[in-house]
Amino acid sequence: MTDSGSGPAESSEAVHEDPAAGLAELVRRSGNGDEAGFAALYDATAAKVYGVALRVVRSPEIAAEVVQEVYLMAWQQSARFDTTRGSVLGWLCTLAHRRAVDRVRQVARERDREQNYEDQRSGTPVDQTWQEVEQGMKTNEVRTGLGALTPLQREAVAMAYYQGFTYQEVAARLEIPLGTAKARIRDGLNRLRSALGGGQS
Amino acid sequence: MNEQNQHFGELHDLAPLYSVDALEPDERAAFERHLAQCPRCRAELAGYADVTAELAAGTAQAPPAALRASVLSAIAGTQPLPARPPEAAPAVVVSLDEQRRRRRGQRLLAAAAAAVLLPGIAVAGWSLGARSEQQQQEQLSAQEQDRENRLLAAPDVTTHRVDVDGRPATLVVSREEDEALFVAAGLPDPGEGREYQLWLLEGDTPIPDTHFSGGDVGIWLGGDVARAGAVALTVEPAGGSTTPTFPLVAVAEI
Repeated sequence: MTDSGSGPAESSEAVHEDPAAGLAELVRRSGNGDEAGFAALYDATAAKVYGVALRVVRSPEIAAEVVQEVYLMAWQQSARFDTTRGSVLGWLCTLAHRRAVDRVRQVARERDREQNYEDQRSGTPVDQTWQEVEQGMKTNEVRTGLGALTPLQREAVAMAYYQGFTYQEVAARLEIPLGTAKARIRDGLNRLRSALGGGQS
Repeated sequence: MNEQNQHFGELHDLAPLYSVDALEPDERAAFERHLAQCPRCRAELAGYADVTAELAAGTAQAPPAALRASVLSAIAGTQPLPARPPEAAPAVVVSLDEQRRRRRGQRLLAAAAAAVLLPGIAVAGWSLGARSEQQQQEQLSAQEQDRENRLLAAPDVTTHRVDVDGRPATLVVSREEDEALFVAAGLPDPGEGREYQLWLLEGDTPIPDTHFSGGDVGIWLGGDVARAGAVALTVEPAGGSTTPTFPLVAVAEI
């Protein structure tokens, strides 16, 4: 760890050495108004940011809007982001997820208003929704360690994270008590954390 | 330390749920408030960052190529917010969500504060409430919210602190958006038959703008912000004036 020299920002090579340190450096450069640094930050992270937005909102157009908002925010806040206190990727993905979830809930609320009676009649197609999610996840779950979760935990975590449901909505859709929904999400995340080797250090 | 702890005990449980945005707006706001004063939860939340990043990573997908150009052109020629706001306020996490529930002026104040203070995460807390009643109201506040968001997200947004009779007020300005928002909490009553009035100064010429009474204020300037060099505040007869009454209560160069 060198204490970043004060030389001109020409060291885009450094990015390749330690990805996390590289991203932190790109954020630092962005904070100085270095647009090339910001472009490199975009290139290094956009697939993940776009991926999470798309997964939640499921519309390429809205996902693109979310991505645009996230990076504008990131650019503006770049000088204030404390790279010693959190990972850059985590920050961007958190921004993207939060914004995507908010968009989805806004849309869902509007839709509920129109289709309320229909939902009541036909019931919410939980199984179908879940199948879709699971289908989409199959290829990813080994990589993400979701395979380490029990099916019930996986279902609850996926509904929360990938579909943007609150735990209350998860409970309602699965017809389980609130406490159970909470616990499944929490236990699932904890198990995932252990699987990633994070754990409580 | 008893009842309080019990409550915190419940809030402590929310970190994992918060990390995946699985809280209803009320709880999200409560947790963010709690987070500001609970190192343990901050640490716990940080522990989930890798987990959620991993959940996100599993979804990675190449964005449309045009998006890159769009993002980069949006920031081109602009500057990020400075590392330290001129007057460093206490580092509380202000939840826009929570503030939204309060009166408009309060909410706007929070928004302005957020623009000044916030590290990334809480800035993202701009979701709308998820109640299905009061749609009309929500629609309105959603529009208002959008307008605020556009201002706060404007690449050239700047904030200016001014003092109004000892009360701090904030002016949030973007020339690109041609918008300016004046926010203050608990402005002193300007007096019987009187109102505050804002002015846009174009060179030496004061252009009369919006007027309002005291209390909690969150008000948009109506004039041509992009052309103004400064904003001034005066006290005028109720209904506003066409020329300012001196002395100026406050002035901010923008």
